[in-house]
Amino acid sequence: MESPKIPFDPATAKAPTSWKGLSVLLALVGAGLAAGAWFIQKDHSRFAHAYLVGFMLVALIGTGALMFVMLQQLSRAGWSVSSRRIAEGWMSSLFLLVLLFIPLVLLAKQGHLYAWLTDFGAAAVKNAGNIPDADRLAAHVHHMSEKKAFWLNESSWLARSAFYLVAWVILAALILRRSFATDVADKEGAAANTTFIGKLSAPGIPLLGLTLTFASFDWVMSLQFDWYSTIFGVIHFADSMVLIASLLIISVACIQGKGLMKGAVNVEHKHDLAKWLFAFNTFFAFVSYAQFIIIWFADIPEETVWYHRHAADGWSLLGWISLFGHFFVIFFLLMSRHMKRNHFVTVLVSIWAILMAIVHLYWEIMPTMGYPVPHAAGPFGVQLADILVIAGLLTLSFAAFLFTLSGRNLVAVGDPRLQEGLKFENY
Amino acid sequence: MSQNAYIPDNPNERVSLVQGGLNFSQVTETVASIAERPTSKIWLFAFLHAAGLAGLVPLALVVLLWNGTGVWGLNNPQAWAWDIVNFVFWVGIAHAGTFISSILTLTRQPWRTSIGRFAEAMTVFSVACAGMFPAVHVGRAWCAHWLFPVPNQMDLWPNFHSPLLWDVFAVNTYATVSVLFWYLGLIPDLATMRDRAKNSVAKIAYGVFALGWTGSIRQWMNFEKAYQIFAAIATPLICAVSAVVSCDFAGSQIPGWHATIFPLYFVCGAVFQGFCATIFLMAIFRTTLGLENLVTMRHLENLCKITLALSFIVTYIYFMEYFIAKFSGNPYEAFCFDNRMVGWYAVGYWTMIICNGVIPQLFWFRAVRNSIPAMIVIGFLGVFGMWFERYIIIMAISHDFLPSSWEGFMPTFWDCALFLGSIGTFFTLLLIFIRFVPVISIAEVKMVMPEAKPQHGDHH
Repeated sequence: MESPKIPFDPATAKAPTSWKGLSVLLALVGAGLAAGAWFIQKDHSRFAHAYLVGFMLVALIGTGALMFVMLQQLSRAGWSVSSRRIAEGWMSSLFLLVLLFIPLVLLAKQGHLYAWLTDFGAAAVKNAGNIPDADRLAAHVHHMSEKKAFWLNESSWLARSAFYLVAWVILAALILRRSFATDVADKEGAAANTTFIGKLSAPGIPLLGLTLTFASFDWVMSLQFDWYSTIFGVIHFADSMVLIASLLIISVACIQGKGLMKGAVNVEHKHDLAKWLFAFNTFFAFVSYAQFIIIWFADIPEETVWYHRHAADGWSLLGWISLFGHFFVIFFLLMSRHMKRNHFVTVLVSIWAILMAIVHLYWEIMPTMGYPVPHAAGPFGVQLADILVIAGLLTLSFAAFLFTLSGRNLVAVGDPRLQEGLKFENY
Repeated sequence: MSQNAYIPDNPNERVSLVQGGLNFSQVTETVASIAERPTSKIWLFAFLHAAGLAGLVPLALVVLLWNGTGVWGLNNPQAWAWDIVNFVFWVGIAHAGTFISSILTLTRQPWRTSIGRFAEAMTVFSVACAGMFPAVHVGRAWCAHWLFPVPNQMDLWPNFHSPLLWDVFAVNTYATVSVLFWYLGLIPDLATMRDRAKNSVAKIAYGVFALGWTGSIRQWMNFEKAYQIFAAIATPLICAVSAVVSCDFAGSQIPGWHATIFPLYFVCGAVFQGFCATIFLMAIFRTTLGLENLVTMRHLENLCKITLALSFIVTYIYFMEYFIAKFSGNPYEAFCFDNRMVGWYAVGYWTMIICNGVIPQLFWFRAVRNSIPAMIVIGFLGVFGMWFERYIIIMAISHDFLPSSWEGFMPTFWDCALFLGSIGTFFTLLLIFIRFVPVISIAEVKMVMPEAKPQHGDHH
């Protein structure tokens, strides 16, 4: 059912300061969940991979939010002004990511994640015992270590990762500062701040695109170090946009449910957010399918190895869920205009889309446990500790969102295009 | 203020998309008069040259059909060579029109209204040029219908697993939808031309194609709905057609062809090329046809900015291809890309990089985005560079796995004649379009003028 349109009430624009206390509580809960997972999970390699799923989820939320904000500012969009501050709140995941990177480094250095960080898995292959073609695999590993060490080595991986994080944090911090400044600036000041963010976004978008691509290569693709795909970074970009659109729809619904942001985001804006989700979800399917069909079609062993590993031992189930759940379900549910304007449906689909993004990351990352030893990930199964660590990191991300927006305006009340955005209608 | 002056951006106020204080009737007059005025000498001069160049097509086809594909520079391993370069090139140009009309419609970009019609016409004429190449490339052109899913005399069907067959479906669907989309948008303007026509022949001709349009509210409602539906259908088609063309290459195991990013590569490359072509032609025809108040510097600046963004995307893809070739550890891939840089086709490779990746970076500067000569040069170089992109991709096969089969490619006179003829055909059709059809969508431009807003003139 469509929500009725009511005029924007600026008195409901401000978030309560109590969000700060709530965010601290949530941060403790999130950290507790992740720590609890560490204690109950005996297999530290599995914990490290589940942690990486959560880490990538936070990274995609933050980068998706940053990209959304920069795209809106660069294109001088009017429709998104009233909901853009919420996306700016989710950008705070990028600050959190810096902290979350420390455990990732520690787990990686202990040899739980990236085989290339030690000996490309040579010792694991040697010790694995009953591997068919063990000698050929050992030779392959040795060959890869010679070919790939120029890129896959500890110091350059750390330096590149630091560069990605610093670039994202600087972009997010500059945008947040200027955006908050528009709330209290006069008309000229607000226009100047808006222009600044637009100009910053012009180089910011390609910088974010490149860094997100290489972060995907370094943090996820390198788990299966001998595999490669040119479109891998784009798939993560698409998923990041799906995630932020879903989070915006859910966040706005929850915030408005608390009596805040009254009339700021009406059915027209929600309709557009649903279109955004629909478009990028379809784009995600396009690029994911492109990767699959081209690898399947050419049938080159160096490339099919990824799908072989991710389909073995029951893990293919996640691929099928990803295909039907991530694409078909969302595509058909959101195809109709009436569905996109239905508050209940869009919130439900958004929750589903976030779940599907997690499933996709889980499918990409978990079967690489123990790589390059065949079948080292074991049969498909989801363990409680996996869920706890992913939920913990997602909770931390939510805490960062609340902390950033606590006591702030949830609508960019000083934005020069706010009035235009409030009045806009889908034709 | 000069009509070529920079229009500053002010976040507090949207810039009017129609300059010069034109009202509704002046907009109609500006656009409709182009098709109504007597044939100009410039148009006649251009038309005769274009038609003359187009005359190379039948000549080249007669020679080709009489002698076979041996008149071309094809060889083994480059069995596709020049012909498919030109096919992909024209498919690329065909992307801007539908992109502007569909994606920019769906994303509510009102500035597209002044340039959409022209770009759509480019799409239709480019697809016509593109379609010619695969049809004659089969060698026995009288068997070109075998491209379609019909069995031959041996009762053999085409291979449905082959992307080449998917191409037939994709390009034909795209051509059909593009023509219908273009024609749909034309209907209200053809009715305007019908109502303004002074002689009965023109009245009947425009009247037939206007399909009885009266401009009633019911017709407008149906028109708007149909336009939105077409936009929604055309958007995935833009991705589909180039993605399918890319699978002709990426589905193989050839180094330099087989890359998972190819579908996106071909889509973005095609749209980039289409925008370059639009900038190039719009910058020229805007002044020649006196459309400065409707195609303002803001429109052109927006085109330049999108072209810059697309240039970044194609450069990103060039870089990804190169990086993954090195990262993969696959010696054939690495050799292929090194060979592109320093091998037989190095000049083409660096032309591609400079024209598509480096020169568009000049659009960072406002002065360049507001200079008509600069736009013409950069737009032309973008189209030129994209031709070389296809050339480089397709010629990658010249150095495949077997050094004994390595061979360079050199086009023959008839290769060049057919390509030049296709350029002539494109411009001939474009000039006919300009002469008889409103080059800007009169109805759509009026819709985005302040006068069209319900609250216009209400100061209370």
